[in-house]
Amino acid sequence: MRKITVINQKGGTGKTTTAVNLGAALSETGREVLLVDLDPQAGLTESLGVETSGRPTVAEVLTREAEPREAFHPLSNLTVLPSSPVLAETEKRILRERPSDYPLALKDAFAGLRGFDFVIVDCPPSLGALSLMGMVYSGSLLIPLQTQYMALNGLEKILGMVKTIREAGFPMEILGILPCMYDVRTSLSRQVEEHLRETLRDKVFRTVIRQSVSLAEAPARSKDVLSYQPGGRGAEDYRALAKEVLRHG
Amino acid sequence: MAKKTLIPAEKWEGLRHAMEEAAGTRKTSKTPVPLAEAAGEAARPERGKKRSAGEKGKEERTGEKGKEKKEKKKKKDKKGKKKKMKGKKGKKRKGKG
Repeated sequence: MRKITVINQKGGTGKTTTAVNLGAALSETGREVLLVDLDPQAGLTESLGVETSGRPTVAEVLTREAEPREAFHPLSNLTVLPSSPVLAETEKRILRERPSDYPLALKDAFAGLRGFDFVIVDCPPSLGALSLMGMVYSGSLLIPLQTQYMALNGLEKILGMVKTIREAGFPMEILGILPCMYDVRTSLSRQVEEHLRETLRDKVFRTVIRQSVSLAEAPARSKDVLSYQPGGRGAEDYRALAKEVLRHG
Repeated sequence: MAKKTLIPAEKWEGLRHAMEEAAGTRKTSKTPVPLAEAAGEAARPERGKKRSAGEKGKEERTGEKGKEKKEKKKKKDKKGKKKKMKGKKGKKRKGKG
């Protein structure tokens, strides 16, 4: 089972879009994919139209009040472990109850998990406790990065966090940095991409996610982009990314 | 025509350094600390960061902090004197009336 955590503490970089559409593209190749929404804003849950009222969510799974399978929501091509705003309170509770080992909460809750080829975790836009749980669980990070100047500051911070976790004795690899919202018309986008590749070399995915209307429209229809516009630019980019991830092993 | 550089070279150098440390190709001498503690420290915003003992020692050696304290004390003393003067004037007026 391959585990991937999609992380960036900056908001609006394409984390949820990447988690959903990479998951859908991997599923298209016949893989069983579980998407875990670890964000109290529940963007991934909403974008796929998952209804959570009266049902356990990732919050209950983290506190061991529910088994993961009880909270899973199967869709036609993906399985979703949804989130809800309650998760913000749960995060505080876990910090109170497990002050020294809270980063292990997700890893512990998923200890007996089987039956998936890929588990993709979508983190909130922060480097707080929930993100740390996601990082420690998978040990493999995919970092979507806007091809803009301000996004580079955030990247340095994540890399610092990776170093800290590694030094604490947890295995941690950077699967890749994914240039997102790439605008072919601007020289800034081109320059950031060019320099990123020059500087970080094989740590940058060859695939670039171009700006596309279909990526923005798909969540409004509660769909991933591959189901919404199978022949569009967004679907094409995420299929290319899935191929790269599969090559990585 | 030369290409206009939109992002300074130092920025990329900093990123390269951070990536080497994150990937473990650049060795650091830090001793392991419990993850919960270390992560809390790493996630803390720069402004609230505690100063290291070395930084504090440097200030003491160069006497920067001492100088600041002396200047503040001088200013405080001057203000105190002025207030006293005002007080005397007030009393005089009271006596005359």
